[in-house]
Amino acid sequence: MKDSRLLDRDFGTPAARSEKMITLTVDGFEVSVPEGTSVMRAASEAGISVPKLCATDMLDAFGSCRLCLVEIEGRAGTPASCTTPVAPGMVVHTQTGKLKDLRKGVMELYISDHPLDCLTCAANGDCELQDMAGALGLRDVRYEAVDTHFRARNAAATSIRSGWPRTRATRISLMTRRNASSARAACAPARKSRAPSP
Amino acid sequence: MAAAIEREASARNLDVTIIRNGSRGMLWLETLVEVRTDKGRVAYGPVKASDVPSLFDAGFLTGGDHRLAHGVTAEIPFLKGQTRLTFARCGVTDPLSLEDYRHYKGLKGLEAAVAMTPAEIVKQVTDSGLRGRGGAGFPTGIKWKTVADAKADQKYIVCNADEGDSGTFADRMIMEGDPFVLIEGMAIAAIAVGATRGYIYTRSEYPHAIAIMQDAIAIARREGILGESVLGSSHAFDMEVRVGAGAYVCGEETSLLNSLEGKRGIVRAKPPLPALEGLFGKPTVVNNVMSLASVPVIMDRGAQFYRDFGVGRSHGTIPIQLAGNLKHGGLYETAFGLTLGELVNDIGGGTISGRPVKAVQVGGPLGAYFPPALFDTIFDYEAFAAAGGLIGHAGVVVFDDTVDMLAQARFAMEFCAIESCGKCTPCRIGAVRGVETVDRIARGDAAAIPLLESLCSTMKSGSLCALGGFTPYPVMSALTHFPADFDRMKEAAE
Amino acid sequence: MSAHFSADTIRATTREIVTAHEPLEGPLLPILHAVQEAFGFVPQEALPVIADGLNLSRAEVHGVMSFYHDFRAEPAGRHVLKVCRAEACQSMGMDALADKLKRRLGIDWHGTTTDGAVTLEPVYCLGLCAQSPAAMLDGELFARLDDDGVDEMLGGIGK
Repeated sequence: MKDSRLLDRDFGTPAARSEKMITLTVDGFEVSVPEGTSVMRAASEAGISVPKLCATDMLDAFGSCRLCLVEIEGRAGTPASCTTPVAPGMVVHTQTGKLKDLRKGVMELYISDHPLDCLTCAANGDCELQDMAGALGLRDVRYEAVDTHFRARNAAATSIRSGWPRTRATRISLMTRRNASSARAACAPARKSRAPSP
Repeated sequence: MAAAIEREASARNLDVTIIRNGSRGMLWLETLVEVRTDKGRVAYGPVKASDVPSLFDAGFLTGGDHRLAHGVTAEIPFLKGQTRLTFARCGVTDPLSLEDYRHYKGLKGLEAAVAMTPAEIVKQVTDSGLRGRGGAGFPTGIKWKTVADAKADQKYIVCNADEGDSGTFADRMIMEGDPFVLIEGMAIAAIAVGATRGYIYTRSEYPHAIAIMQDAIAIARREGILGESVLGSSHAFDMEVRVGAGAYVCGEETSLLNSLEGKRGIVRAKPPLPALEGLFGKPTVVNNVMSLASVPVIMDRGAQFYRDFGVGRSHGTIPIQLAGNLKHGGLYETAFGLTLGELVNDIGGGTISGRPVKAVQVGGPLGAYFPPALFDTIFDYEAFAAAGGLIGHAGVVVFDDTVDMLAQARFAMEFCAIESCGKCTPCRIGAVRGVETVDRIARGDAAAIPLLESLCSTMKSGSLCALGGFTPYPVMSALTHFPADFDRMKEAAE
Repeated sequence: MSAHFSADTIRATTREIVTAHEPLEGPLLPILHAVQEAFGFVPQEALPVIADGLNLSRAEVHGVMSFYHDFRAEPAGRHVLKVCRAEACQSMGMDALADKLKRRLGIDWHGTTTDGAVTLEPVYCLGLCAQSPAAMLDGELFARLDDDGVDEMLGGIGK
């Protein structure tokens, strides 16, 4: 099993170091992983890939992109698989109708804030955002075009000298988590739509 | 006001002692002046400085009649109908007089706690059925037990006093009117879980509360309630007030912890629970002001005493804050179990504008709007959840029939867009799309209504915390209960 | 509250503030409040000093400063008027009152009058929800505002 894996495969969250093994079920497959492993990584170990944008096994889980949501029997809601640790006997579903709609809805929000210039974009064909939109079956965006976007504002502070848009810096933290292509993908719309009017 | 009375009294050569107490919670009568007489305390209000000479003329110092007189304060129906446990002293005592506090049974709870083992304290709080008054309704005792069982060199008690919900002011009233009860509650929590440091995180919009809390903490430290030895016991506990900086999201507990640590107030994923890895990664109790302020009476009077109030799984009393367009707005502490209609019409006295009630928002900016048709909903955690709403911090905001529910839905989305911490997509981008989508509906684009519903469902299930997750409540309740306000095509045609 | 501070003054004062807050756990917010108290805003020159004192990157300090609504990067007017826009105040007609106020001052939210006298900011809840509409002028609270109340409030600052 191990040998068949690609070396650069990303498991989503770092490996746990515990000696103690936990057994759980993901989409009907039983899998045993060290205690402290995330549900996302457990699924990945079982050969199931959960959609994701902000998770990588080089960093601790952050839980911001909301594409890796799963359903766990006996638990309310749809927790993020990257920030949820496994528990003995847990029964996880990563592919359900509800999750499909939810992920597509979140993806649609990402793309609604994104300039649709893939054909002239240097990252075309090598873009995680593009790949993920395809994987989730997003074909069109029901929201209005980018140039009509509403600008929320309440802060007392105004744009500082650097000219960096006066947004909350969190938006940037998401972007710095991933490789250059998806950083560009997520970053460009935020800068474009939130830039203060001159 | 105090100055006006003092001036008038000295001009008339009368000896008057003026005590500035906290609010009684009858806010339509404020500024309320109470006079201690043989009959008890007699109330006059709302008093303006220009009314003072006529009050003296009417002999108000001996309870004389006046157009602003309301008789004995405790007999005013609004106050008489209440069960004041948490707010027993608020408005009665001088907030910064420890002597007053002791006189009205203050510190009894802490004295009892000092004589008990930590496990006994946790059990008593658990048995009382007290649930987090901040909104989620999580059992306080279970939270404490988790922290008590955690092993660490340092544990913290954090009081969430970041009361940002519109329509709520109970935390502010306690901090301004009876600050020692909060200090006492935190000290009991500290002994129960083995914490030695505490923080009260409050809002920069509450300058008076900050000043009074700081003074009260200094007094408590001087009098041996805080410090190396709490009331002479072997427990050490000290605390300080920290002031937020205008971010609503910092009322969310993990975001509050980040803010206390000096970081951006962004929400953390749970697990790990703050009870195990909270402030600076240490086990931390994060409780609302109301939860902590309810603890002293539970320790003093016993778990069963508190538990006997309320209905179903909602035990004890809840300070309901009646606000907005109401004749008798104010704080009404009562056992769970009244209906929404009783609160709005009987206790609140209906709208101040005299127009019919159209909608009532319960639970702050993330709470659902209720139409009068749902006024028989019982005020407790479960009944509100079943009716598609939430109690939140028990703020009730009343709107008359001039309100446009589409505008309220838009505001809910706008507020979320402004206050979003920006971490998760459904909240950060969804709220902005929400404002635009409501605007489309306002322009008569009926196709945008299903889109708004779909967006709300994405936000509700996809968001990391309650800000993005609950913003759909006001939006969807407005859409469900007031569809006419969203039918702009029809309106234009008519 | 004016911008007439030299860069050296700003750096020296900020250094003093940072030192005074050393004993605190998680001192960044108290420091930023103190800096704003001292200068009326959080000047650019203060950020590297704070970053240096707390062993943070300048980006982190800027991130925190810009996250919170209270901290301003530029000086405000001589008076800051915060008007509540939240639901309870809406229910008592604050929207109409705020529109009138904006016309009277000739500014929109976040604006400062041309003579530098008043900066108008929205605020979401002052905790005076049973005495709506409410506003706060330089830290002083005003409740049950109506046209007369606004006159009285602004009269105090000659507006």
